Parts: sequence; structure tokens; C-alpha cells
Amino acid sequence: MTGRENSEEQFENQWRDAFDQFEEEAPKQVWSEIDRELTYSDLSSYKSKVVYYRWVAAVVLLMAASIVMLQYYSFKDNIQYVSYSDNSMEEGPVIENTVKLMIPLEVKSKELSGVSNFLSTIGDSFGLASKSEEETIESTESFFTSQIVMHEVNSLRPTNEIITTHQDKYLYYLPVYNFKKQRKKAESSKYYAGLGVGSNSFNPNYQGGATNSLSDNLAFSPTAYSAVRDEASNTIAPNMREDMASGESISLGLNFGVKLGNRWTLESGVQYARAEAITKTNMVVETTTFQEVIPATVQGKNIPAFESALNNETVVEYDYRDVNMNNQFEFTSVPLKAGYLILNNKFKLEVNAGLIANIYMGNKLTSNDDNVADLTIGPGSTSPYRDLSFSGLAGVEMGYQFMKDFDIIIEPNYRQSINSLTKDNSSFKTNPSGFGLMTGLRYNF
Amino acid sequence: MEFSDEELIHDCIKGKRKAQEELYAKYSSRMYPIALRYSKMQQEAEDILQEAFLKVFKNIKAFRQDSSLVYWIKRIVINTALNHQRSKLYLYPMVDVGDLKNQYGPDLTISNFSYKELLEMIRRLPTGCQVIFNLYAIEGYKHHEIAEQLNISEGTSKSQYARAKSLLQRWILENNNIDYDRAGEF
Repeated sequence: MTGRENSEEQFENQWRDAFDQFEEEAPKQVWSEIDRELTYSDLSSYKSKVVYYRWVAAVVLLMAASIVMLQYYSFKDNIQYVSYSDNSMEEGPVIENTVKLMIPLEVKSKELSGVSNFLSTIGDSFGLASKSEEETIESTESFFTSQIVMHEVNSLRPTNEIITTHQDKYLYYLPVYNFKKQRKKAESSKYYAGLGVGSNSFNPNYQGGATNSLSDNLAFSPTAYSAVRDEASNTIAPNMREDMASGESISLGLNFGVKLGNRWTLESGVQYARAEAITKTNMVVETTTFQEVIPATVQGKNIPAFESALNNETVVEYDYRDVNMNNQFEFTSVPLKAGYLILNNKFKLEVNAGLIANIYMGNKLTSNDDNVADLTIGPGSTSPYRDLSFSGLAGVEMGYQFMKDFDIIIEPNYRQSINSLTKDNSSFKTNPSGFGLMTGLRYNF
Repeated sequence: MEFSDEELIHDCIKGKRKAQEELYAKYSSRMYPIALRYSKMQQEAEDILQEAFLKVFKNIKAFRQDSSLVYWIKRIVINTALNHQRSKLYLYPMVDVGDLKNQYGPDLTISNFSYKELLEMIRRLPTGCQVIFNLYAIEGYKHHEIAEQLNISEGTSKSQYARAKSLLQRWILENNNIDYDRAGEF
């Protein structure tokens, strides 16, 4: 090493030593800002969950309201009021000790005979006509009501004092639902249809291209970028990096099915699904044609306005900035699945599997930052997304018959995309998967 | 009670705000001077520090515990500072400034300058010179490494450094009485 080199090193060493261990307190407001950003970030992650819970709450309320309404109208139609009057009690004092028995129809013959025997015994003992208790018995299709009037012993006479009339003096009823009869009807029904809503986790399983350089991904070649693929936080020269993080999806649809024999079912329908995921990119492009900066994302590669702005050399500046964009994918889905009924009683348990055809309707990328432009990637020849993709579906459907012809359905399931949502020539791939929960109401014809 | 780095990292990964605050309190005073060195204005340095620590908390899961935490945080602060300067470098591209000779000889000493004075001298440098002087003289990177990081030629890095060194030497010689209010003139 020469003396000159030594002296040059001395110069640098002096500066290095001067700054080596120096410490200076940062202003307090820096931490306040960090704290605020961290809180905001936490809230953003909760926000998507809140949307999910809001949907679930709405569905639960809707279903609860439906159940209450259906129960109300059903009972209203089936209940008959039983009443009696004491206008026949003129001939002697009658103590109004009234006992009412509510006996389900199914047990009528067995238990009523016991009651009759009991009354007959009492009647015989006190000279009461055994006919009287029979006259107080009324039945309806679904309910059976018996009422017995107990008379004071010293006032009992062998006359027909107890007469049922339609004068409303007392009103007693207790509905006892006759499930057995209804179950038979449900079991005989072959077709069913229903409404369903659900929520899934949505893991896009994003895979970027072979290189992450801006020039490869955005179809233009600024000389300012190299093709280093490491994370920005671990390298001094961060390159373009893009990723897509998981989110949630919600779906709403109609379904219909047919029973093939005692155990097998075949079901289809149509669903609208909206899936959310977060695209993270570290670069924005400022142009003279847009007021907002454009997030650098491979999804925007073929957006005509974006491409035109880049090709016309209207780019002012490429800036490194961490931007989170919220993807909102929309699909129309047509599922087709086969199921096997393990249980087929009041409770149903079915395992099923099938295919879903997803028709891509678009993806809207939005940012909370007003200075970042929103992008919409529609279907079509310039879109990186296929118009039609397929997913596999497997689930366990649990049903509960809560009314004559209605079942409430809950189905945990798993979906896995069979082919990538993107076209073969796209520089990224995404094969979404996720666990979900479908809930719904079903009507058995 | 002072927590160890391992405890802080563990709790930061869980997103505990208290641990994040502790980590910031422990290292921010060492990182703030770095941010100051790469910026022209104090507000810019605060922005760099804020952004860097947000990246630290966001990426702390990726930290490999076999390396030094302080070095890892320092790298993030420098990266963030470079990102801030990068947009300026595109607007005002760096060009070779010719082969500058060292006019001031080897015996120049800075020991009679305070840290604040030296810092202000660095911040008076033109942006390109400031970045390259920091990377070469203080961070210890080689010119070819700087060239890769900034996507410039090695010759540009050398000539910008020579320009920075020349300016600093002139100011040191000129005195002891630099008008620091002229900061940002370049």
C-alpha cells in the first residue's frame, strides 16, 4: 500500500470514527407517528374481518327472522282454541277447579284410556256419568287437548253438567308439534332448492415470474433497475417486489338438487363470489397523464391507459414506495357436486365433492392512499386472467329440519383451484385455495 | 428492567406494542444520526427513521437471529434513506465530474470539528456526493458495490466521491468558520 493510499484511508477513517458510535435522541413525535401507523395498520387488518362478521350477523338475523315468521304463521294455521263455559252449572254449585291436560295425538289412545279409566273409577265412586269426560275431549290435526272439570264431591250429580261450547271464557293451548308425520313427507321429497351465503378464507397462492425486475414485469426498460430479487429490507438496492397476501371471500347463491335414490344427491346452482386479497408492491410510477401515481404491479401490465402512458414516455419519476392495494375479485360460479347421505333423519349429514366453474368478472385494485390510482382489471383478451377457471370442492353438509319442509344447512368446505386464474402467458400465477363455511335454507318440494 | 434482544424480537413478532416501543427506544438514538447523514433536512431524517422502523416491525419475522440486530436495523435505515434519495437521483442524474486530483495533501485532520459541524458539512454536499460519501467513507462500501446498488457506473461513483472529498477538504481548510446556515444551498 502506498503512502498516498494510506493518507486517503486516514481521511476516511477519521470520518468513520467521528460517526461510529455517536447517538442522538430522535424527536418524540417520530415514535408518536410510528405508533399511529402501527395502530392504523392493525385496524386495517381488523377491517376486513369486520366486513365478514357483518355479513355473518346479517345472515343470522335474516335466518332468525325467517324462522320466527315461519313458526308464527305455521302455528297460527294449526292451533285451535279450546274453550268451555260454565253456563250449565246453574243446577248446583261447582267449584271451578279446572285441570287441563295436553296430550300429544300419538299418545292419545294409550294415555287417554288411562285417563278414561281413572275418571270412570271416580265417576263410579261418586255416581258421575262416565260420558262426561268424553265430551270434554277435542282434537285437531296436530294437537290433542283434554280438559277435565273437577266438581266438589257434594255437588256431583249424575247429570250432564259439562258442556263444551264456543263461548270464549278461557283460552288454553300448548302446541305440540307432530314431527313424525312431517318427516315422512320430507323423506318422500325428491327435489330441493335453497339459498346460501358463505365466507371463505382466500389464499391466492401467488407466484411471481422468474424475475422481479421492473423491465420484465412492466414491459418497458428503464435502465435504472437491476434484476435483484431479494427483499428490499435485506438489500441495499431493492428492486421491484410484488406479492399478494391472503384475504377473505364471501359468496351468495341459489342452489337446487335432486335425490338419486335413498342416499345419493346431485346439486348445482349459481353463486356470486367476491374475494379479497392484498397486493403489496414497493414501487409507483408518476406520469404527466395521471394525477395520482400508478402502483407498479404486473396485473396492470396490459391496461391500455397505463401502457400508453409508459410508451409515450410521459413518465416523470419512478419512486420506491410501499403500497398495499386491496384486490376485489368478482366471479360468477356454477358448482356441481355429488353427495352421499350418511344420516337422513331430522338431522342430516352428507359428504360431498365436486367442481366449480368460475367465470371471471373483474378485479378492482384500490388503495387507502388517495394519491395512488385505482386500477380495474376486467376480463377479455388483454386481461392477465382467464375468463373461465375451475376449482375443486369438498365438504361436509349438516342439515337440521326445523320446519315441515325447511332445512337449515351448514357446510364447512375446502376449495382448491385446479388451474391458475391467470392465462398461460401471464408473468404470474395464482391458484387460490381456502377453507370456508356455507350456511343456508333449503326447501324440500 | 431492560429486555434482551431475543425477548424484544419475540414480543415484536407477536405485535406487542410495548416491546415495539422498547425496541425503538433502544436503537432509535443510534439510527437517527444515520438518517441525518443521508438527508438534507431534519424533517426528512425523521421520515426516514419512521419509515425504517415501520419496516423493522413489519419484517422482524424475517430477521435471522444469528446476525446482529443492530446491524440489520442499520441496513434497513440505509436502504430506506437510499430509497428517499433515489427519486432525486433520477431527477438529477449523476454524471462523471472528471478526474479530480487531491489538491489538499494528506495531513488534513478533522479532530477539531464537532460531530454537529461534520454532520452539517456532509449535508451541504450535493445529493449524489452526499450519498456516495456516506456509503464509501463511513459505511465502508467499495465503489463497485456502490455502483451496483445505485445502478451507476463505477467511474461515476469514484468521481462523485472525489468531488465530495474535495469539497469537504476545502471547507475544512477554509476553516473553522463555516457558515452552516448555507446548508442545502447545493
